[in-house]
Amino acid sequence: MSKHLEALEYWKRLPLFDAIPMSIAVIDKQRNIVDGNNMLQECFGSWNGQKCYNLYFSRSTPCSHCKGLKTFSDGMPRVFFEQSFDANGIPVCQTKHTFPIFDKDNKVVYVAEILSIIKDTGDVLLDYQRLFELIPCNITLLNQNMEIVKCNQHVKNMFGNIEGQHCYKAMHKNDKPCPDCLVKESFSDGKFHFGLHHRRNTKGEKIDLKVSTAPLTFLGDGPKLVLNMSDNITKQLELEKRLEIANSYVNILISNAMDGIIALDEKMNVTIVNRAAKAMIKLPPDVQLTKTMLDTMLPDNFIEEVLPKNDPYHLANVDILTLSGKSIPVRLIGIKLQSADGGIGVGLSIQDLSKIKKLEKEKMENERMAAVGHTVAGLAHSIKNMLYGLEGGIYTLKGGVKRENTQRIERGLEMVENNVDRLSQVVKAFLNYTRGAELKFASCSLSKLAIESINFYKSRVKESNITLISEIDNNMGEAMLDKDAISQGLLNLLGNAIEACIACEEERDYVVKFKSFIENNIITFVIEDNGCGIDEEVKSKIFTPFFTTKGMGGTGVGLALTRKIILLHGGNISFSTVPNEKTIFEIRIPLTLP
Amino acid sequence: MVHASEKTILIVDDELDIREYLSLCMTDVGFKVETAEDGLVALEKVEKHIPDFILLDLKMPKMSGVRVFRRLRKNPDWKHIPVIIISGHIGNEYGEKSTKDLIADAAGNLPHCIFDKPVKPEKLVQAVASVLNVETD
Repeated sequence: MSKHLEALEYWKRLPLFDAIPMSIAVIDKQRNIVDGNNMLQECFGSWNGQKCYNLYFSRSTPCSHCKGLKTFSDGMPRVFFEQSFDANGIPVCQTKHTFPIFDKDNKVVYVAEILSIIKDTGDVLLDYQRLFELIPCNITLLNQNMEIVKCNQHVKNMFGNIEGQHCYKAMHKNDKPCPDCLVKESFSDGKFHFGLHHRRNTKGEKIDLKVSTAPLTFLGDGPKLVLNMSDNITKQLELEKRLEIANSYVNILISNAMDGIIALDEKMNVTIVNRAAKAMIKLPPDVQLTKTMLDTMLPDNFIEEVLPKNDPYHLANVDILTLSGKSIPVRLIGIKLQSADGGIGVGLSIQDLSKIKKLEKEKMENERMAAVGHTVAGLAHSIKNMLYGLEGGIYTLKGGVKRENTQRIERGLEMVENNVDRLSQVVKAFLNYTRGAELKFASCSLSKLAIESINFYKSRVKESNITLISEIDNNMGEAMLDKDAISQGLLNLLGNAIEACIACEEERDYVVKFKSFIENNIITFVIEDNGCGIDEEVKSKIFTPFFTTKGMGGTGVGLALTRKIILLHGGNISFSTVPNEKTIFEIRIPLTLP
Repeated sequence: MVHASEKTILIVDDELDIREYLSLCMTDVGFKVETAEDGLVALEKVEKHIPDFILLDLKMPKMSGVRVFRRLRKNPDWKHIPVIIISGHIGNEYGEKSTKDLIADAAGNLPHCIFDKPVKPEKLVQAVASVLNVETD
């Protein structure tokens, strides 16, 4: 042994050994590293007592095609490329020279390996290291025995330093390689492979891994190493699934919605037309809806009006022209669909109002029929009373004639005359009501109309304990109305208010207030009194034609006719009351400018 | 037998002509008569002087016939007064409801009868006379 060492010492005497900027390792037949220079230490770390395959490749078993062994056997120096890993785990690409070291008897006692690192790859390797360590997915470098030659920080964080262990054991707790292993495939065909693997993590939870394997081929030989990259996409898959469910949920909602839903993207291509919309606009099957078609259907420039608005553009009642040429009333809502980085289109919601309108019409018909029913009852009642009055008159007349009582005869005649009068009034009023006042619209001064109405009653309340207060806006301007009809309505309500005060038994300062103003383009008249109020029983019948609480005083048509006039002006009339305290009537008519 | 002149009939109706007519019917056969144009006046008159009979209309301003009837029945001094209801509303829904209300509250003490307007004077006189058991002219 010492002779060998002498030979070695001789060779080593030259300080070149340590000065040479190449790694030199001296290996014995058992592949122990017997000696090494500074560079070897710097590059690969502590070499003392290590096997060469361990130092270079982190292997636990000898490399099958060991070139050093060949040099031992034939004493021939060799040169070849090799990739191994330095002390930091950085892959190093090097040129390896193996030299036999002979003893005095020309036997190869050691093999010296001189490695020169290919410097050009230095920068690339640095970047590689950064990537290798920093990529947030598991990267392992595996050899043909499925041992982990190198693993990145991500793997170490998850499993600890499992270099040298079998990947299937260390990472998946299997005793055997996984049946769907892509690394094996890459080893066998030298190609890239991709797949989705289902495994369990260290906690036993199910995970989904996107796996890619890349063979590292050197110099035409089969791959010695395969890079295995696996990305845990469990969350991603879950999100995708949830998104799919949410999408299909939304799609179901959209397709089954009763309202028509249409959407356009930023290029104004129609992306959504649901079933309801197709039916509404009468889109023929197999025909694609385009913006041009929409433009013919919707009100002019509707979509263009939607785009600049941030809020929905809402048209409560508008006609659209369907593709069959028919016009239908709809509620139309247009809204800009926007994402954070700019507009992504327009959404339209269309509600078919024709059914609702039909129902409303039916309802009005029913109400009218009911009113007519009431009308007939009311009329019948009035007529009954008058007939009774007539009978009374005749009875009185007859009695007067029989008793030769002139007074009685006169009274009887009077009763007959009165009731005939009343009858004709009722008939006139009835005809007037049913004929449906034909309104004549003309430009009319609102303030003047209001002032004249209240002035009509000024003289009447002079001698009484009723005060008339008017709060009339003097600058209401002109509006298109039937002046006589509205005037009639106002006089009717004012008259009722005054009578309510008269009818009230209590001692009170009676006030009838008449307010008139325009708000939000609506002409408003408010008539308020603090008279006897309206009884609960009467409230529901108040607008019924011929319903009257006034006995001989009223024909019962006033309020019904007033209401009709207001409805024909497109307005409405409402009231609130507290029995024995007050009543407020309110008329609202949309302002139509002349 | 008592004579009609000893009995006072209170006639309640909001229509003047009908009050006059009914009054004449009653006075022609000898009854004494009081009239009232609405429910409040009617009750006032009952307070002043309890009548022997009341002819009552249903639909009146200020206090309807139904409410008058209830008041009459609630008061121990008045509940014995016989009442005939004469109404133009019998046969329509207002009348129906009123009749139901009447019956609901009457607690068995119903009006003697309910007549529909117009009612013949003879019929009325006959009804009143038989209830009061009087002799008429």
